[in-house]
Amino acid sequence: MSKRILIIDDEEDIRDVAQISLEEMAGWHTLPAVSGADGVTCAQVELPDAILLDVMMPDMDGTTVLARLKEDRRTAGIPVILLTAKVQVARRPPFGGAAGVILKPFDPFDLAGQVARLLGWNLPVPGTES
Amino acid sequence: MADILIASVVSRMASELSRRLAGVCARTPDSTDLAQELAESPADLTILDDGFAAPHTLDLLVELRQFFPNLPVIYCLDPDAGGKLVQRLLLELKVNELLFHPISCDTLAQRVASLLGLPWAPDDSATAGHQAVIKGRLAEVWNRARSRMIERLDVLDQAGVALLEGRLGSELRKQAESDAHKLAGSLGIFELAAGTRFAQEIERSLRCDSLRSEAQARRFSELAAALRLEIERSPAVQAPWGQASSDPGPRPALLVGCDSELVARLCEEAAARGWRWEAAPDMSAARTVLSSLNPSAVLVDIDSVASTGEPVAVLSELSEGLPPLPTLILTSGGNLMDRVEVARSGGLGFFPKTLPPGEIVEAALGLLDRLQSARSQVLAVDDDPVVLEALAALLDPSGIRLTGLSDPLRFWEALEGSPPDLLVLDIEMPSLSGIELCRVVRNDPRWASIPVIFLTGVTESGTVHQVFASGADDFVAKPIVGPELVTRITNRLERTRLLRNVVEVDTLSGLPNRLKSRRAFADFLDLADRHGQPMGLAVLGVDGLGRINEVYGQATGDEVLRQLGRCLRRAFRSEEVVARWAGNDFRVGMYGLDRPGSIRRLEGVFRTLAEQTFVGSGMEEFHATLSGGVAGYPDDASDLDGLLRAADDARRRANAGGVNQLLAASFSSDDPDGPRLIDLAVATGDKATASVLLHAFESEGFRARALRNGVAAARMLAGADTRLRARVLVIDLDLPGLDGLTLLRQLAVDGVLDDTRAIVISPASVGKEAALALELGAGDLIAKPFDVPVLVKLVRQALDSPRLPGRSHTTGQRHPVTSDVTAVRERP
Repeated sequence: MSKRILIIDDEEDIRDVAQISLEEMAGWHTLPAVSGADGVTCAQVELPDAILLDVMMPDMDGTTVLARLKEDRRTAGIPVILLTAKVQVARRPPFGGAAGVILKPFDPFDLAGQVARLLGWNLPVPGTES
Repeated sequence: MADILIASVVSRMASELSRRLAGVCARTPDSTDLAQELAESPADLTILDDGFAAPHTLDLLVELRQFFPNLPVIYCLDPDAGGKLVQRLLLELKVNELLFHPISCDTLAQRVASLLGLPWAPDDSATAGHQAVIKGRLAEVWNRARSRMIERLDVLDQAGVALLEGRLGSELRKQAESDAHKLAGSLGIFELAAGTRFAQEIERSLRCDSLRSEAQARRFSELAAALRLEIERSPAVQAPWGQASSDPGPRPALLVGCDSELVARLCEEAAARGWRWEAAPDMSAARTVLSSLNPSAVLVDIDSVASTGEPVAVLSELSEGLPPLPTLILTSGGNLMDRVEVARSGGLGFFPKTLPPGEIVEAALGLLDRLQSARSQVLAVDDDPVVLEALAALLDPSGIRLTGLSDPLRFWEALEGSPPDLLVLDIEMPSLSGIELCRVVRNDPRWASIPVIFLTGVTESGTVHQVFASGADDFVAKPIVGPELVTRITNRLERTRLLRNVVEVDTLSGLPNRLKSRRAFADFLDLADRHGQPMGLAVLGVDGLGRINEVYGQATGDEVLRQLGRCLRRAFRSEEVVARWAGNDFRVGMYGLDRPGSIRRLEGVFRTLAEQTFVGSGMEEFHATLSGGVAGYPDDASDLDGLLRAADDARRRANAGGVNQLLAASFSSDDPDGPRLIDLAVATGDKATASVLLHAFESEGFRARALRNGVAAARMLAGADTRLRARVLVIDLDLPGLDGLTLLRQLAVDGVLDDTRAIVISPASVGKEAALALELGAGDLIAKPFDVPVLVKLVRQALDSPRLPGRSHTTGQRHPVTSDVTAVRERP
């Protein structure tokens, strides 16, 4: 079964691009969440295989969301990758329990590759799994 | 290990090739050492990019070939390269592969692999076709995202202004920081890396509280402006992403000489329509960017360009290039140069600068569309977007427009939507096979004769047989060999064109016939209607053709007609329609010219023909003359039939009046909404003067009208809703309502004085008012108190003069040309 990735980002454009990248390049299924709170709920219900989490969001920022996810037994084991435009965050591991950081702007043709490399997944050949 | 030498402007070619192909070592020399490196250490394969050592890249290849006639060479060049260059490269210089920019790394790797006999597999992350799909989807996101990006820019601009004024509040600052952050995070995703850098610097400066000094504030605004420019042009995203296989959109347009405010507004409107416009401050700047920008059209602010050089020369320069560059004129009206001169030197249309920028852009698009439709259209159906992209690039240099369709289910829609001149079909496609499509096409009588070429990887005889049985004309095997395919397509198109010419072109004169030209007239009229442009329509014929045939022989008569066809073809550009409708019935449609303009434009043709000496069957020499009528849209009629009727009517009057006559349609307008054409308008509050003038001229058959109030006169004669057009206008400076000078100024601004002669009644023959009136364009002046007979004489002279004074190109006029037959009637 294809992997399911939750994308938490308040910006529609970024969600769309990430969705297209992951679906087209890796054949993964994506779930969009428009805010931190929305993302936490969605993670608890859907239990995705991985989460892409934007750090800078208006209502609940990425680090708070990450803490919530780690507090909850059901979601604590899901690998979370932070999306950030702040170079400082990217240089300061271990990011509060995140599996890795992807710097914005990302290359839409390599986003799936970056996720796969951070999580040690195999990148499926495009087209075979979708 | 295969050694590849790459001399290309695309810097990542070498690294991409090394990455994609095992056993390849690619090197890129410095452009200055290239000649030496080529000669001293030849590689197994050389890739030369035309732009690398421009303009000497070709010389390098010539040199290389002298030493190494058989070395494999791949040559990269612009899709607009001429056919001669392509031919030379392939035949004389024996280039193994020609690639046209933009070159995908996948294509390049594939070609290199096949030339060197290396194994090749599509890129491991995704095939190029797959990438094209992704790019298409990303382009859609970008199109949605763009307006949001611009909203964020607006916040940055606000912050910039506030900074300069020293009043940036914490709230706006926070908002701007957040917007800059978001821009930084997203622009790079859409291939706008520079945008990300600008946004990052803006964000940093806002965060670090380092915006105290004025210099820093100015830097902030500069960055915001640079960012806006980056986003607004954003071609990197829109052109290559997703649209390449369908409509690439118009190439950029170049604005010359406009002030920066107009440039900004026009560019904005153009961008909103997916069109990129660039600006050059003057002609010399325009010249330097012309070749690299390769614009689809040029808009010239003739007022500013005229002040620095000869405007006609500028226009000729632009329109005489190959292919000629469509040139549009922006003008503030008033003292604009003669429309005729502009049309003659290649200008396509006029736009007053007062027109809303959106309308200017729309009108330019409309004109380009019209020109584009003259190009051949090919519809290609292939489920592989890479093939479509390659086809488009191959065909573009030959002036062929390709519409690519990757979904065969949308075939019918595309076919009907913009009827192509030729079809290229792939055999195997997932939902519908090309053979099935071809059968459907052939079953429809409308498409029974369209050429169909199949493109396929399958070449076994059974399939080939099936292809031809379905009604195909030709068959080309994949992989595509560029020049071969292009030749086959152009040959087919040429043959179709010849066949169509039989139906649509008159063989004697070489001009389009009635069938074809009527459609073109209607198209241009439609365009004129939408963009508020005038259009002239003329009907012409050789005087006494029957007698010529009788006296000098039928063959001689035909020769006269052939000569007239030649004169007309030479005198008019392709955007103007010239046609022969019947034996001695020639028609000319002049887009952008009003009635007087059209007459002036045709005078040249009249003169040229009159100067020719013909020789009859008995060796006797004779001269031929023309007569005709001209009607103008929207003055004389609002539709094509009305225009044709009005022009026909004027021609009949011309023929009745003698030979060598070109008459304008008289005032018999069948359009009650259009402006009335009269001979004389008298604007004065003095009832006695008005009635004397009206009486004097109406009794002689002239149409005259009195206007007793300045406000009414302005409304009737000027402005968007002109009700009245007079050939001669008498204005009393001492006019009730709106004074005469103001009225005169308004008329001058609206260009009314370009074809109306104004006679001013002034309180004194000298003084400020008189001088001002003459300066504004009054043709004559009479001071109070005056003798009424003197004024009548002045008006009569004005009505008698066939053209306006000040129209400097008064050439030795051999035939009476008048804008209304009533003006030359004999007076007692």
